[in-house]
Amino acid sequence: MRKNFVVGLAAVIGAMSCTGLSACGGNRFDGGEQIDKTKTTLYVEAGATGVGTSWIDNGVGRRFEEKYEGVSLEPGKTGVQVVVVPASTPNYDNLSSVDTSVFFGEGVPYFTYAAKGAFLDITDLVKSTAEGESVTIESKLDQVHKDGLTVFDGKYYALPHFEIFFSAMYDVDLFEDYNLYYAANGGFVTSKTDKRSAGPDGEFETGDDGMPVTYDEFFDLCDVMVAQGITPFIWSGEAYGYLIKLMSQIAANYGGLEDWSQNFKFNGAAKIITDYETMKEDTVMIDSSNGYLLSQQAGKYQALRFLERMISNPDYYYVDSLLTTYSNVDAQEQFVNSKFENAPIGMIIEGSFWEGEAQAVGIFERSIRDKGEQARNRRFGIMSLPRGNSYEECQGKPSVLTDIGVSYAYINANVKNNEVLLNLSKDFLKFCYTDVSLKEWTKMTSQTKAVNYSLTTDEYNELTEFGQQLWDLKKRSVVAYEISDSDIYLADQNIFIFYERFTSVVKGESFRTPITALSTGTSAKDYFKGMRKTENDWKWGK
Amino acid sequence: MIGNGVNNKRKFLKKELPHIVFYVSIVALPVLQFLIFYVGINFNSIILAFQKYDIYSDSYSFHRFNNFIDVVEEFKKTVYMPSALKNSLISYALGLFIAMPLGLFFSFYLHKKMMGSGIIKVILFLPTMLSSLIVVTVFRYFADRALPEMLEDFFHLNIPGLISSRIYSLPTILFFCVWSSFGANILLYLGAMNGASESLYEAAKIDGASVLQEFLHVTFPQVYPTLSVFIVTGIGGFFTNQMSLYSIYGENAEFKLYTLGYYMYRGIKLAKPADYPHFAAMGLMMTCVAIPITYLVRYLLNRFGPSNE
Repeated sequence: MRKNFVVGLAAVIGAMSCTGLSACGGNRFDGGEQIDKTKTTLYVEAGATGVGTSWIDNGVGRRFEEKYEGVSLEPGKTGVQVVVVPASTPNYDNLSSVDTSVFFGEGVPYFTYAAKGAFLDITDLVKSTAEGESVTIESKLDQVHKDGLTVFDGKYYALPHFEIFFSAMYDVDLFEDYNLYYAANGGFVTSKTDKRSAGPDGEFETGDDGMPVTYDEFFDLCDVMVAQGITPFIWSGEAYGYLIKLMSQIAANYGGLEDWSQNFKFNGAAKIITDYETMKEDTVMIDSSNGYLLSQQAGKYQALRFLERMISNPDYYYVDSLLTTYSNVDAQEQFVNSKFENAPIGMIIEGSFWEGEAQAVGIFERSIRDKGEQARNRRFGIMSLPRGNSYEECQGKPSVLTDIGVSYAYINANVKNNEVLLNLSKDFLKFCYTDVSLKEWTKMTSQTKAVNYSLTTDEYNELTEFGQQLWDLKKRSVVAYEISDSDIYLADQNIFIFYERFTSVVKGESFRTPITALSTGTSAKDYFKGMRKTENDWKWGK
Repeated sequence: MIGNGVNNKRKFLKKELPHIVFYVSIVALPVLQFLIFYVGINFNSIILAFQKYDIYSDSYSFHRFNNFIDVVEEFKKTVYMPSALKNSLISYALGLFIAMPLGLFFSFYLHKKMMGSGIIKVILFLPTMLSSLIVVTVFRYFADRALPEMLEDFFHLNIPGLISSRIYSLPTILFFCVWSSFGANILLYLGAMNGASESLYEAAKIDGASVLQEFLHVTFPQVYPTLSVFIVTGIGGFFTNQMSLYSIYGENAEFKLYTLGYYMYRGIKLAKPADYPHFAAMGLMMTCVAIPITYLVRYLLNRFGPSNE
């Protein structure tokens, strides 16, 4: 009896141990959706939080299924079912053993895994025209993407997906209610009908009318907010990278497209501070031998000064923003509900995905449930950030938006083993990049794709207020995409990711992020001096 | 004769076969795991330490000792490396000179079933019983938000979030590391203490030994072998101890909080194939430092430690 018990227990323990092995290799995931075995299944992974999956479930995926209605691709099966796999960071080293064929991702290590053959060669797809169109998908790409995506062997292994821009997102209703716009004839407007100033782009009747042009105007706006009981800023202390991304945006706006692009291209002119006493700027040609000079980039100094002013006055920001346990969702919820709690907050430092993300986690729904009808149909905007210290400095400078999403769409190379999946995956990806699908995507997500396409007036009017402002801002701006064909960038991408652009050493103490130092008494100037790298720190181009 | 030998062998096998099958079925998986995840991986790491990755051809090639030179250069040039080394030392010293004696004290207290043993046992074992992720998350929010709010509400004291504070973050994390280490250690110390014969304690009582003398002459020698194991294995832990930084901050811990273990762990988490040889070389160098120290410490502990006989 005892012997049988021991044997039985050993067998159970052995079986339980084997379950550990079952985690090896790929696994099917049906996402809760019933798999229709009478149809050919195409697994698609998508839905970074701010984008969601509705654009596939109710949009391009549904239309693609309609396209193949009644079409038999495999014996015994008719039609296609597009199954959305909830997004997670794929195990790129293990892609060959997963069922997912098409991926729409964020933070994709394109160079590493394209080189390893994990992504399918889609050059034929990119250079072809989609149904009903006369232009190729390639013609919709920015030149930067054409050069960067084909750096290995002239072939494409992915397409740019969606763009992520960081800025101060503001409460439009709050700004209108409290007259927080600059007036065309000076000062601030006194009513909603007053003519607003031209804003940073210098043109009237554009989306940035009434917005501050210079850094001083921006902080004068903050003072006006504080005087009216509004907290100007909130941000997530946990997502410390958000402030770094905002600073990158400010630096890019100050220096311009070519200046900012040197951070990953190393082949053009950049404004460098060459004298730390007078903070004199000089234009320097950056190449593989002197990339370390970018630690002295003038735009980065301006960004530090901006941050210094942001936190110089405790009334400027929500107190919990400095806590590393204060999440982006906490900040979004506080921002959205603040005006109903007699503690209004004017702006949140966030990415352009924030509205979709807040929607996805139920923030607006909860707000309506708790605060009533007044919380419905909220209007938010994205601010065109200042570009300099004076009107003269800002004149003629276009807005630069830094896309730090590194977001790409690609096909799993394992589809090469299945001709049906191979053709279907390519067709689906091509289908997603038709003008019809691109427009539909923007209408459904109120975000922008990193390719060129347009919206009709009716299509534009279907966007939310935030979506319209984002669309307008992109049209008025040039975009700095973080992709490069530089050998230095390819050799060591990790060094050039945005997280490391503002590290510094002040009085022997190293800082990853400026907020830690600046919020405890370090000046922007001292922090910037501590960022300086020398030729000894530069190991490339030697 | 030979036939008898073969028959005996068959009988032996027939009799022992079930035992052999049982034994093999139990050890096969752990042995396989050891071969793959220890021997195989370490062998691969050693090879990798002498290689360089080319992104264009997606292949590794022999790189001689250049990775080791790069590691030394990195240690020299990285400004926060001395601070990381210091934090690793502080954490190790705290474990050795504070956590270990306190662990022994609490274990002895529990062993003697003194007042409040039950509740103390629960408090000390709680971090070990619960998922470490839960413990870390609760501690993070308590130290960063709940505690400052409570102090402000009840005592009108204005302190920053302890996890977020430039000044208080390191002491707070060190406290957490000490507190969360008690459970597992106390469990093992208690087990060793309970292994001591009751007659020893009775004899000590009869001889008029105080509690302290009882601990030093009866309990401590009993626990010493377990202590030795902790001290010896802790040497290797010096290089891998993250102080729970990854659990608390993810990849975003400030440089001043870094330990050598967190530096390596974070680096490997973010690494691409081009970075693996660098970290393989770093690991190998740390191993070369740890091995002789480990043997030396083991020798000294065996040579000069008390005997439990």
